[in-house]
Amino acid sequence: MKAARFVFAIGLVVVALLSVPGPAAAFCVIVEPPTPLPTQVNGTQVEIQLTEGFARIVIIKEFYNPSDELKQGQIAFPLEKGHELITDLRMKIGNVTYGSSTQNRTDALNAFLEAIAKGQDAALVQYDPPRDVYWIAVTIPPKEARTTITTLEMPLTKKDGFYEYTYRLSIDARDSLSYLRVHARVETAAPLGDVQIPSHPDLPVIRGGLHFADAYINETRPAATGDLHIRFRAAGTSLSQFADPSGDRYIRFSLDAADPTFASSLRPTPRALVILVDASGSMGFLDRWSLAKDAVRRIASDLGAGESYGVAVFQGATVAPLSPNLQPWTVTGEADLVRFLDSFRPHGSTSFAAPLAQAASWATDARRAGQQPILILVSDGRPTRAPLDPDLEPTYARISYEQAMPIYALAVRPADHDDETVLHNLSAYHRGELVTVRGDVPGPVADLLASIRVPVLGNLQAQIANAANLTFASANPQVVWQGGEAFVIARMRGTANDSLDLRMTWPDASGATRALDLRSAGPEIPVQPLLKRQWVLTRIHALLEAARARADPSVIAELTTLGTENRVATPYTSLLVLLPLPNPSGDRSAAPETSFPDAPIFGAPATFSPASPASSGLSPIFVPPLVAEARKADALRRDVRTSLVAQDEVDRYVAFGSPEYSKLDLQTATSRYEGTYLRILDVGGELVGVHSGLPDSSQLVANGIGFAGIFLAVVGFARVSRRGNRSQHDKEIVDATTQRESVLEIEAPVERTEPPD
Amino acid sequence: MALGIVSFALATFGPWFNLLLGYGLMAASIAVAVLGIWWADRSAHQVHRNPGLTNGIFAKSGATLSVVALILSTYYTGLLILVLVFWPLLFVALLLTWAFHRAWVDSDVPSEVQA
Repeated sequence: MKAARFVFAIGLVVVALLSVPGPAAAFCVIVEPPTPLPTQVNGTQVEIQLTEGFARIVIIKEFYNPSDELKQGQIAFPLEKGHELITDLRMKIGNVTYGSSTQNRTDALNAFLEAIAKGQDAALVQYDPPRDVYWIAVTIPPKEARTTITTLEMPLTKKDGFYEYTYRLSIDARDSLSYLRVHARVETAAPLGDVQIPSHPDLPVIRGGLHFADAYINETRPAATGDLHIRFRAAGTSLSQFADPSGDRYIRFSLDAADPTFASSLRPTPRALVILVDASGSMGFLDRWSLAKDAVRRIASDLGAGESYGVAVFQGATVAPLSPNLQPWTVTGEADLVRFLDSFRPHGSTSFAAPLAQAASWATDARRAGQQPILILVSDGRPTRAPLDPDLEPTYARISYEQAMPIYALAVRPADHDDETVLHNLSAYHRGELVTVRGDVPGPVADLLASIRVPVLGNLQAQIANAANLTFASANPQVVWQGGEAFVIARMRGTANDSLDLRMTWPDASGATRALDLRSAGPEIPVQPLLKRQWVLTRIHALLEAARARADPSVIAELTTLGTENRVATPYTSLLVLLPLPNPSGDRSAAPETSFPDAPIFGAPATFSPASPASSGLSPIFVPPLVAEARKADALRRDVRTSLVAQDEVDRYVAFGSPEYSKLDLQTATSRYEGTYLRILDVGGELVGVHSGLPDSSQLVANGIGFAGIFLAVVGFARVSRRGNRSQHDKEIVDATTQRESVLEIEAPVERTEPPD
Repeated sequence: MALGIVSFALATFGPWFNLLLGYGLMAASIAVAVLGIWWADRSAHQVHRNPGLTNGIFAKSGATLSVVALILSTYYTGLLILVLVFWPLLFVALLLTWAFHRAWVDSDVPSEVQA
């Protein structure tokens, strides 16, 4: 007893000693840096200026940095191909506005980095190839506001007699905290015809005379609104001019394809529909494959006499054409088409580039037969094999450019906006469009067929007599498309008072040459101040398209020169605003140190990754087996749930180290997914899943012990229970015997106490 | 019982493993094992007065199985590693437990003698 008390007392002392705080070695704690407050957009003001064939949009955004650190505000402009280009950037601080200079891409980036390293305020517009967007990076000191004034410009093409422009107002409405103001003005050289705003039917259009109209939106609080879609047209032919002080004169003339001048000459080119159908694994979900089959049948059945079609189904490494040659639409052909499509089960990877060789071959055949090839891509929009977006776009641009083939896309229940965007970007060439199937098929297919335009007039030549240094920005000769216009935009030496002698010639239906002569005295031609910009933008877009298709150094050199001289941000040129240092010897020189030192200029700031091993808060040397097992299970689940596996996009699986694995050409393989137990490789024209480490031996051992333990426990329970019952039974017998004996013992004396007879 | 629970937890290892369920089962196993050891101890001390409490001959084997289950549970939950790291604390705790135990047993002796 004494010994026990002594041990108890000693124990208390030891516990007290061990309770004194000391250096801990088993755990470590990661301290996460404080998350910076996001940059706010106080408000947005948009000025939209539309005229025949041209749009200029000025976006004024006020940014505020609510944090205590210098920030690089970043604005992304995912401009569509062939649409807007950023043509000016200014920065406003207080009442002072600073303009930009144009430099080639590398010089501008270096100057920007040098400026922010000195603590200088700067802004940069640059093209970011991996993301295929234009970015504006703006440095904003703590608790200060900066206003950027960005100008976008784009040429407009006419469709069915209307010029159309869409502005992504929904994005501004979502971000702007205090105000959103939009002013749209349509001003034409010819008398202004209809002005429609289908997206905002209640928005009043205020006419200011024969030639212009205005519309205003003024929101003082955040309100969800759709994108702004404006359609307008000018009455009659459109002829305008602009002469700049340097002696250059710009001329624009356009005439609708539907104009009576062309009536006897229009010959719609027969269509040759090149239909590429995605039958990859992801098409097997959400009933996409049934919708795609129905859509293809409906599209092909729209063909008339003299037209043809070809259908190729692609999945994995396979591209299967319905027929090696283009064929006309017939009743028996419909049965063959249905049978052909029914023979596929969606499975395997998606390569949008794989069927292009077949498409190019059919396009060549179509041209030879005097038909207009039109590529229609039917897919859910998720390429899983190289080339992936954005590398995919040049591939499609090239075939579209070389074959003069519009590319349309039919998105069949795309999983998300990104997938839809891939198809949207691929269908931007040569007036192609994207149509999305979400529910029923007939409506979208009708929309798709209605949007397909074919050339109606070819080889239209423009000539301007007595013009010095004449340069056409428009194609010459050009092809006039259905619902489009014949338009000429040219630069020459001269003044606005010079007369204009324009002649357009084209072959009519019989092959005879027809001509339109336009003679006008200079002062009679309306002046259009934006014409120079329109010429520059039209020329740059033509060069960009050529550069995307061929990357010709001379084309790129001309692009760079034109972009630099005319202040246009392109993939080869950037806009830079440098602000003078407010206090050259002041404290702002140390400011960049508070910025994100390791963050790329166009990337998100380097943040703490929750997936890092140290993030669990436990030391890596101490991982409880249960936690380790949970991590393994999570890793396996992640592998199984990766979209490529879940969407059945993997063409085949091989075990690591197996004979099939050794046959893979790993030198050319590209990894598409790196998991714990699974790697997915893009190799040999297919996606191959390589699994390793399965089954896991430690898991098997644990499972073996577990099942054996359960078995033993059950057996043990059964035996204990049986013995327990038997003991109870024995006890009951014993108790009964004992009781009987007791009764007998009790009864005996009673018997003995009975009186004798 | 404790061994059955810990075995069930081990049988769930694999892609379907759930960490919360695993820890729950292991905690339950530890609790049952401690109860089992306590029961065996109680049986061992009272066997002379009430042999029925031992349920026959299973006290020692039950305690052994409970200890096995306890070791497995503590190993898989990481407690065993903690114990190995902080063994001085455990040592003291064991000493304290033993001291309590002895004090309790010693305090029971007079009543047994009186009986």
